[in-house]
Amino acid sequence: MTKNTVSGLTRLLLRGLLLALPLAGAAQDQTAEPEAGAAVSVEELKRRVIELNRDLFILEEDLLFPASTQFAVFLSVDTGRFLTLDSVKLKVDDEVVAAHLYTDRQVAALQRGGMQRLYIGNLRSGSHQVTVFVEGVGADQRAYKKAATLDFDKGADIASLEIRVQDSAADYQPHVEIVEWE
Amino acid sequence: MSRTLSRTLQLLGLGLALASGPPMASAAGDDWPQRARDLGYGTILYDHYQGRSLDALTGFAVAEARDGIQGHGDHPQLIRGSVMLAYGMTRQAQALFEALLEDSRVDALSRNLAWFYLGKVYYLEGDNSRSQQALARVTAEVLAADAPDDHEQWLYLQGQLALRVDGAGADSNVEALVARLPSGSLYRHYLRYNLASARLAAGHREAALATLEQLASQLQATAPAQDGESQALLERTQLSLGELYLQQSRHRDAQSRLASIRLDSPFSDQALYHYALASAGTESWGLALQALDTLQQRPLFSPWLQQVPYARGHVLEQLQRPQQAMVAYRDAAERYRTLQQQLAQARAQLTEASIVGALQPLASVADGQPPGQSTVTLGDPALGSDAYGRLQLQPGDPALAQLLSQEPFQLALRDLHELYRLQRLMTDWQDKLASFDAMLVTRQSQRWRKIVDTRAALQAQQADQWLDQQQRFQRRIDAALAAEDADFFMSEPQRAAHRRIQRVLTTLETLPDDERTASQRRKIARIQAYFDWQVTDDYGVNRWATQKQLRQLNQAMAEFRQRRTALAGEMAGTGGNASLARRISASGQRLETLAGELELALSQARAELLARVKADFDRQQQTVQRYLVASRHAQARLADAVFSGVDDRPEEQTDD
Repeated sequence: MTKNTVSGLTRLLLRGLLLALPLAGAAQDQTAEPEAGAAVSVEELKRRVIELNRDLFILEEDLLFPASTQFAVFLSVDTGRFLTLDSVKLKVDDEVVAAHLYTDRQVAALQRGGMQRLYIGNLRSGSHQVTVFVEGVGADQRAYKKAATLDFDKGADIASLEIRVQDSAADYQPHVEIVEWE
Repeated sequence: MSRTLSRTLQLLGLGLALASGPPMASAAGDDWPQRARDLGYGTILYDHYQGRSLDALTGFAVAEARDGIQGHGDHPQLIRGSVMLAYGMTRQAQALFEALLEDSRVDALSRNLAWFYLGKVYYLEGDNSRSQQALARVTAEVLAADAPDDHEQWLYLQGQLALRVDGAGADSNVEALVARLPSGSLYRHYLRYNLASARLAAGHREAALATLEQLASQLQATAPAQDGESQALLERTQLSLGELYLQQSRHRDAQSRLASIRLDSPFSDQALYHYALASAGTESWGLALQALDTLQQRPLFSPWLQQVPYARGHVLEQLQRPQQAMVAYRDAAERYRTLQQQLAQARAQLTEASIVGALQPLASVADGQPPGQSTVTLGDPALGSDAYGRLQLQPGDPALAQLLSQEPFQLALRDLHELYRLQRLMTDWQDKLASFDAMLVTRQSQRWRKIVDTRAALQAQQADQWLDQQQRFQRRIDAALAAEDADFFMSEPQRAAHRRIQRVLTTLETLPDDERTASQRRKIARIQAYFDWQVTDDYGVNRWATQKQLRQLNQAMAEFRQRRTALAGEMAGTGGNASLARRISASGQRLETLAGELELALSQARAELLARVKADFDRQQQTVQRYLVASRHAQARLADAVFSGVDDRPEEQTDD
């Protein structure tokens, strides 16, 4: 009886050995056995939530930022060598309307080609002035602060501006400019 | 433990690469723009690169509902499909790639990538045949030049599919694919490892050993020490080699391989345990005991560690220390009994909250907080996840450790988390819709006040009288024109002169009829004749001037009427608020329906998760029960032997 128990336990102890390698191999194969019903149901729910999210997003813009007064400011980065973005502050007609402190993840997303919608609001037709202050760290670990200003006329349609932060190979400096999108 | 789990998940990293979106360059080729040419697309990429798949997919849907994405060709669709894959929407991704491939306008480069991604979709769904067919449509040279990383994945996927379909029968095919992968590629190493697994499963033990030995040598030579994934794979390979040698009773080889695995490795529990077995095989009982004692210090997490208390007694028994062995068996039995009670209690009190409460975010995602210092809230967007949406968590309760590392549990947890996120989103929108509603009511009342003010202003203008006057003026001019009434069209100076002449004539009528009056009457008659001639002569000019004024008046009145009509229409209408109100109301209904369905899905996901944990607890209890019984039997057996004097030799100390 005791001998049988020991040998049984030894078998149990060794069972893991027999399974280990195939299990490890299977670990590389990410295909989980699909539980089709539940998976489809969750995926279908996700699809419908995205559709509703879209409609609500558009409704929100139509309601809060009608096309005739809508004004949006985006920020893009084409830099990395001469400036690592740290923070940005946006003024419209001498009033601070947006400020943002960037995380590493956001900076990486911008450097890969993403664009941040920094601000969306309403603006009357007519002449306006936009000023942006960009702060960051340069290649020599020196703190940089750059600013750019744009005077522009807001018409009866959506106005979109882009703040471009980019490296300039000519003077080895980061440059900031504000560009109006047509 | 956190390191153990994270490394284990790291080892699964290949799957992450399969699911993650195409890198910028890979989906793009040479013509990929450095700067987004579409603002909407730029913000979508910003969300996508931060792993915010839901926001990115919403961005795509918004762009589609508006003007689409301009200036990027088919690349946005490829990105959209890959985001869907990362968000667990494989069926949607499949439909998208299929639609892309059916569109004859899609360029060859994009088609090539679309075939590759479609192959990945089928692969993830386990549809081997269609996956193979899709991957076969990829032009290797184009993919290699366009997206080198995808090309490596393409080779790897083909190897995996061959192994899935033919197992070790795909030997030569997989070897050929391995040879095509760059020597430093992790795909190459994984494929080789999986080939060894297939060979072992087919009973080709020697071939499997040779493959693993080759892989270990290559990894030792090429894997950078700081590359966690390569190191983890190397240790996994060493562990597998150790286990295989152990099965072949090559105990010294096994010891050598297992000894190379670090104590803080994710595989150290298994390695230590097998090292103990290998040492026992070489009768190095001291080393075996040392390994087991090290394991004994660790919490009883995994099946490997559950074996330790019993195995320790067994080794002491082999060391001819029956008294110590008896104590070890007794301690083991006590330990198993306590563990059983803990498991039974945990199972009885199991709720979703207790499961979530037993989890902790990994330190890297807990915003600088040390592990164990922050709590997990499912649905919290701050909770980190990998490209499959699997949560970056570690067990706070040892009982969940093994379960958490299993794919089905991870996926169930992912679904639950995602459903909570969607539910939160729905709640946020419900709050927003309520505020939109209040906003519209305020706008409506402001509008009503303006309408009342406008009506009062219009009334004060007596606009109807103006219209009457205009019509009277029109009639008089028409009559004068018809009668060619030159007097009617006289200019203001002429009218003044006419009035003066009439006054003089009236005055002359009252004067006595003498010579002086007669002379004055002749004079005024000459003046009047000249005046009449002048009026007649100026008739055309005066008529034109009057008609011009009339036209201007008519135009002004027409504009006035138009504005008044527009104002009346505006006052009678709702100013677009009604349309917005309808949209808000319809959205509210959709939200309510979806929220109900989400609640249902949540309860299903919750039940599934609980069932999984309970089943795992049952399995653990059964295992522990077997060890408990075995420990008690061994204790009784030794007690019998000791007290019956069978084993009365003194205990020896045989340290190796």
